[in-house]
Amino acid sequence: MQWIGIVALMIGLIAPSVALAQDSSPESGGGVLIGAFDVGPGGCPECPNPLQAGAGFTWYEKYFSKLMLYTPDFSEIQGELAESWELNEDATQYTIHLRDGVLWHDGEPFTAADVKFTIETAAHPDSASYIGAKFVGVTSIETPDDLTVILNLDEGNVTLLDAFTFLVMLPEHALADISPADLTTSSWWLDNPIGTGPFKWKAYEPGQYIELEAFEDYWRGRPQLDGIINRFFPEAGSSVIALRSGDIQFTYMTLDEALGLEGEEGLSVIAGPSQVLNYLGFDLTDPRFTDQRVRQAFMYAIDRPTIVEQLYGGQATMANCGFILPQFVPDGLNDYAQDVEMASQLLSDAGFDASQPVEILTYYGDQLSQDVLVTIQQFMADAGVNVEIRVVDVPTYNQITPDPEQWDITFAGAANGPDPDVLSSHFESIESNPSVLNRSNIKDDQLDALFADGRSTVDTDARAEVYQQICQIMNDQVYWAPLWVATRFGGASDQIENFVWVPAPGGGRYYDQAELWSLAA
Amino acid sequence: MGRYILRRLLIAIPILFAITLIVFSIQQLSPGDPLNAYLPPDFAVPEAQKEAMRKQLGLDKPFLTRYGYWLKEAVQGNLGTSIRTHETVVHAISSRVGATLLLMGTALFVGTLLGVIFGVVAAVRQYSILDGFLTLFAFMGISTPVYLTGLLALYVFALRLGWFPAGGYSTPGQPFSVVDRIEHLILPAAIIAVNYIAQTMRYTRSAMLEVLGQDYVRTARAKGLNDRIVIARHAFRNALLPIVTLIGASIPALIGGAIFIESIFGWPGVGRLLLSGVEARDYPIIIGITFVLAIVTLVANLATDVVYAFVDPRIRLD
Amino acid sequence: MIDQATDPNESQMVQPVYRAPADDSLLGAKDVVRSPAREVLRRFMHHRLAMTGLIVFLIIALMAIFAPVVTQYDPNQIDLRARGQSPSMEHWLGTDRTGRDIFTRTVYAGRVSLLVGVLAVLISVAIAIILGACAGFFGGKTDMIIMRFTDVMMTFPPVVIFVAVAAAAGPGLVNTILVIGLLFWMIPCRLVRAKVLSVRETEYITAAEAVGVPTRRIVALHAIPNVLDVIIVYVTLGIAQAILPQAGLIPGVVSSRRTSKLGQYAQRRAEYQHARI
Repeated sequence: MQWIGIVALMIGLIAPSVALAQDSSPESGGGVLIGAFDVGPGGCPECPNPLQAGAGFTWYEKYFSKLMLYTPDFSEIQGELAESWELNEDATQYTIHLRDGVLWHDGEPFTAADVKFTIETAAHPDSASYIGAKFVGVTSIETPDDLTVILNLDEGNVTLLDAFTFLVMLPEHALADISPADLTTSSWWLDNPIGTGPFKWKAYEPGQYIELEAFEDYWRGRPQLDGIINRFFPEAGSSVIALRSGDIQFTYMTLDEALGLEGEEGLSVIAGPSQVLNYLGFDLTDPRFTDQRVRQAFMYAIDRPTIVEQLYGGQATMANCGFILPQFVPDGLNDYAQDVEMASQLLSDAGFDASQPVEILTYYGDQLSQDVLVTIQQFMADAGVNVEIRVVDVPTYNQITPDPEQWDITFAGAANGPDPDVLSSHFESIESNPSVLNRSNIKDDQLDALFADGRSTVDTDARAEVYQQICQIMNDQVYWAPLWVATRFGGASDQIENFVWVPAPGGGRYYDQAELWSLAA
Repeated sequence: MGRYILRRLLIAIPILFAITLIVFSIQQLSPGDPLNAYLPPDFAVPEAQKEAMRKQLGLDKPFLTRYGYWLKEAVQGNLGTSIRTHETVVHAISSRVGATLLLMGTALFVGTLLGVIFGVVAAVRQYSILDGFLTLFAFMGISTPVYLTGLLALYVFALRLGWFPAGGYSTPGQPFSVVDRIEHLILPAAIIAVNYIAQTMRYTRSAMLEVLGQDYVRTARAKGLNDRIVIARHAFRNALLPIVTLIGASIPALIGGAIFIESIFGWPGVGRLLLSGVEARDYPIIIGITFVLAIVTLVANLATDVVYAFVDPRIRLD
Repeated sequence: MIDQATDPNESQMVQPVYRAPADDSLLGAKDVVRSPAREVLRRFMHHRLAMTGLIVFLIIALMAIFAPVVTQYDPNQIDLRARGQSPSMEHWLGTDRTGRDIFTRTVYAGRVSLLVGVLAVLISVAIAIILGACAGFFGGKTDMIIMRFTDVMMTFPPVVIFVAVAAAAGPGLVNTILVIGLLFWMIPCRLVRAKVLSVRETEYITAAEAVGVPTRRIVALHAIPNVLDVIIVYVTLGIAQAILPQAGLIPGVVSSRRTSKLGQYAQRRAEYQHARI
């Protein structure tokens, strides 16, 4: 019963927080907002260098800016420092028109030269930036005038638009003398970084917090807040206590913590899809999993609706392929409703050797994931497969997984949005694209061709069509057993007005109108 | 004695060398290098990029080369640069050691002082209600996980009662003030102090009891010597040896800090630096902290041994 | 008991024969001669707090040992229909999120915790006594070598070692016991050594050496009994503490997740911090 209340609360909250965009009241404001912006999976506390960070964008965007950002519902990409852009028909040339009158925090104007400098720096191998690596296909950058940038690509790629929501713009005038290699270890990032964001650098207290102050000449106008502070919480549980005691006004929360906040006066829970697909990834070099029927048997054995309903309290969306956004999901997918007999039958048809245990490797150490895994263990036991669970930390996981000898199945998460191409690195074969991750060693010519197709298709509808085909193959082949996309939560004090925050892989990358946030007295 | 101290100091050099080499090797055994810790598990990075990152982090060199390089720099006082935050290790440690010293120093001082007092009281009033209460307190204190006590303390004292701030080292954005610092200090220091109290109290009590039952103490008391003098001069002296040992063994923690409490309370100390170093496989940080801790440990243990001779003149060190 | 004529003001004249550290009365106790063991037993039986503690401990220990008899449930059997229940006659402490019986899991957890606590402390105490007694008694080079080794061991941050051991040898109960046992003997070792350093200079040891009692015998019969009080305190505190390291450190690194532990109920480590996606 308690769920109905909280779900209603969440739905009630996410809607107005997004809708508040139009409803700004410039006269109210002032004050300094303190938040735990780097708690949770979207955060990267004390990671100084956004070119090398994999997360933490919610915070970087408070002082740095990107050319483009998603809308808060992630339905489309809108201009930030770019006012508009055009792609040629095969997506090999981008023409980007920059916003006029944008100033860096030190008063210098932001120009096309900065954009060129940023892309070249990020894509330089010495920068060791995997965000920059997305730009290696850029063969030349032209800057016909101060507000126009033209990118020429070696092959068609529409996903650079998504990459631009990752790439923070850097000031050429401040960094031109530092080599890309030196820049990675430079103290500039934590001493006095210069951006074009709504707030500018004020103080860094190692191990404690970073403080920013309002940037008077922000191109959208001075922010309502006088300052904003990002407090670090090495122990996430402490941040919720700090939120409840009023020491901070915002933090990320787990499902259990969100439940615990139900009915708390003056606080609101914000919920949103994580855009992270949880899946079981098979090691396809292991002869036990090369048979499609074995992989399908896992899908039939696991009662996913029950797990979502009982363990996630309904706070997850079932996935039948890599995607859950309706435009990428075709009709008529197999939903793999639980069928233990079918699972056992498929296993015996495929001649599966059930005498050896199957190990599920994961880096998810939290209690909820543990509960999920023992439940999966039980479901698999019912179908006659003996599953063992092994939990390691992320570095160990990253070390182990490239070697197929060291694991059988992974229980992991992979971003499946906002751009659907994000899954290509897991499904494209190494032969077709040397920069892929593809731990499962998936080799499917059809998928290779479709992903390449998806990258070079400019038309939105035609592109969605491609990913529907990909979804169909994923659903049928079960190279990964897709499970669900969980909901993630944030908690905010009702004192903050005009606040927009939604969960996202790596945090941020959407326009959160931070310049309009203000604190009620 | 002078010769003994000199010899110990000389031996310390090869020991330090051995410790760093061992920790360096252990680092090699630990799964996941810094690059693996750097990247989220679902991020695809082209090989060229990975190579560049490895090279930048110095991971492309063989193990002994890296150790040799580290040693050469360390001798000159340069402990390298943190892989995660790019700050120099010397700076990373020195900028956090003050916070740790404040936290651990307060806890150790209060803990030892109260521990000794409670221990003496418990011994003198053996089996009284007070003794029973203190025993219970000691075992509760020592057997409750600090992260549980930590979160509970935050919940009760910061959230429910509102007496203290919910973690942190100072109020963000406010200028430094002593009162503010003390408010932040009390909860974490108290929790660590409870552990010191429990430990010191039990050892003191036991050492006191051993002597209080002795015939010469009984005789002294029977002769009408003031109880307080008997306790102080005879019984307590016997307890000094374990107390000195415990204090000596706690000195490295003054620099090393408390991993869990620092994490839960967001205290910017060395313990937290070490934990985040381990999580990030940031080996310059790990080895740098170990190196500093090794020096402190060696000195503290030497000092303890020297103090033994004063506490108990019978002890000869040679 | 040998009664030595001692000068009450000479504190270093420590009574040579080991006595139970506890004594009922400080003055005028009847000097009835009993064996030390019987003496300890007699006092223990008369001490209500100690007896209560013992009984509670025995109940917990027995429940842990006979866990399969105490409870009908399998600690790892999930039952999604019975999830999140409040305490009832069927489930005395209710059920957890996956419908496992919490009482059963606590009992089984107690089993593991007790085993780890007791065995790990036994290992560390054995090392502490042997190394500490040798270092303290023989002094000189022996002391120098043993204690410098102890210094080295005191220096290693346990977290670093936990991670390495888990990688090299894998997690599991035996490794957990070994790691804890082998990593936490240094402080009791220093305590034992300090005590022995002091004891070895007493006259009765000198006397024993003079009359040619073998060194091994002196250490075993005279030096070690004198450090028992330190050891007893360490064991009691140590067992309580040994359960802790396995609970808190890097999830899944030291002990396998499949074995539930008391500590894990208390565990609230930063849940998503290890999982950045």
